[in-house]
Amino acid sequence: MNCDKQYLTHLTEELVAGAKYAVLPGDPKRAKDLAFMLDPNAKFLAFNRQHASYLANLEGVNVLVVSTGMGCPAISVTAIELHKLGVETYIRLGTSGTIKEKINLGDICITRAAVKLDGISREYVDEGYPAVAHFALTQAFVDGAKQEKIPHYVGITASSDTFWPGQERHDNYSGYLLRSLQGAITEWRALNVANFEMEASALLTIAKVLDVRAACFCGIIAKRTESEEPNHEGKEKAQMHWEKTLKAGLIIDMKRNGLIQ
Amino acid sequence: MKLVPKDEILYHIGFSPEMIEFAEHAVLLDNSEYVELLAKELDLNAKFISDNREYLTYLVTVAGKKVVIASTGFGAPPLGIGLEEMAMVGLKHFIRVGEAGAIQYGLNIGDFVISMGAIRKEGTSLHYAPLNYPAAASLSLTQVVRGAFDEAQIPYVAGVTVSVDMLWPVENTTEHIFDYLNEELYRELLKKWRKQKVHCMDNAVSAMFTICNVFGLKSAAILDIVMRNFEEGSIRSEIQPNPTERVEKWGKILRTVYKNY
Repeated sequence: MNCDKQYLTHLTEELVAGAKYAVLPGDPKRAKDLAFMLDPNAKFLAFNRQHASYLANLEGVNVLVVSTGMGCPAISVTAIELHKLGVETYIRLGTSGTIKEKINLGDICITRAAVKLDGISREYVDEGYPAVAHFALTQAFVDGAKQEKIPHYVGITASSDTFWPGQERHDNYSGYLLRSLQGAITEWRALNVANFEMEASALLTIAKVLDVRAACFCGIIAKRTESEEPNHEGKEKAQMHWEKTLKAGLIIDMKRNGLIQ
Repeated sequence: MKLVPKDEILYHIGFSPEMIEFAEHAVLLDNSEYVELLAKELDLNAKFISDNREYLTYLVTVAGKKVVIASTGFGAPPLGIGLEEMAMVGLKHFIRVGEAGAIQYGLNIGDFVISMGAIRKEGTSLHYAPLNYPAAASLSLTQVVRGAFDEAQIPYVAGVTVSVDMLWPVENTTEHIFDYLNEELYRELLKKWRKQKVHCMDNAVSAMFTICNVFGLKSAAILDIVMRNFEEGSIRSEIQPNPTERVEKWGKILRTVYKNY
């Protein structure tokens, strides 16, 4: 058994106990909540920098919960370390701002594919390579949301390397936005993009190249048609919705793959 | 320039101007494990300020100046978010202290590089300025940093860094599937950068330099070598960097910087 500790997550083969599923929140504080939500007897594994790792057992199947930190490089390095440890299914779960009028605070936005406003994906593949989710895995979460009656939307997500200019926040420090970013929201909306966040494009690209399964879904905490700011009420609703979607979707996927009855 | 009211706590960094006692100086670390160590090295009365996501923040007083010591996570995206918000709370002078991989043959593990400028091979800075805009350090702050190294009699090399979103190329084994995929590309890049007199590789300073230049704020970077990147494969240090030693050196340098700046 390879006892080498991974550089950033500090995880080892032994610690991950053969888990093939990993849930990837961005915020280290969220990892514990998710792990214990899935399994009241979840085990703490490691904590280093932004990576809080737990092992949960859901209906007999081991599921890792590992926080990634923010941004495409951070989720990439987490996924690559987990890939070396044998993980085959990656589920990003996070917060996001919607640019579509009909999507509301607290709704779950499930990413079918992503616009790459990030730098790392083009280090590995051509810019034209599609950051597309694993469809069967994604379907499990769509079905999970439906089963739990969670308001949800399936669509195209734009993953940005910045929170401010790339997501066209005008209320920024310098008061200026590059010309190419002025009107970015109007343009993405016209191109049928549903929401902004900062990780999906990298995870989905990497998963395709590594030939593993990945899906991303987010709780909407900012409604960009109304405000640039994240909304605290929206966050509470979003959290409740993503927890239900996650658990239901995981069980559906595990059943479909014959891991549980 | 947008400056927030003194009691407004920013969303990601988790502090307000008054919480940091209107400090104008900040040291930005890439590893949250070092924040408290460095803070206490500089000031026995270091004050814990906040801990949110990747941003662990302490406040110290050095040479009569209030200085924020904060971690900014992995890579350029969270550094960008941190900078934007730190600028809004009134911070103006930023010194990055972080790890890098050597590209030039003469550099060894533990050596220091002071960055004059950086190649922008990351996505974050592109949201702030076009690629041909310089990621250059501030002259006055960098010269003070160099003087501090001289006074402390700690050798360093002044040069150009390349900041890449992608992970440092590591050993050519099939475990590291990405490296395997891009093996030839990395070899060519390293050869090219070596010829172009690029000293070392990190993943964030080009974003810091670009954003600070756009904002009209000051930045400098002190990088220490933790890995050597060569065409034949990288040698990650088998020697664990000694945190106490590293922090002592940084402390010595920073005390002199703030005395003289």
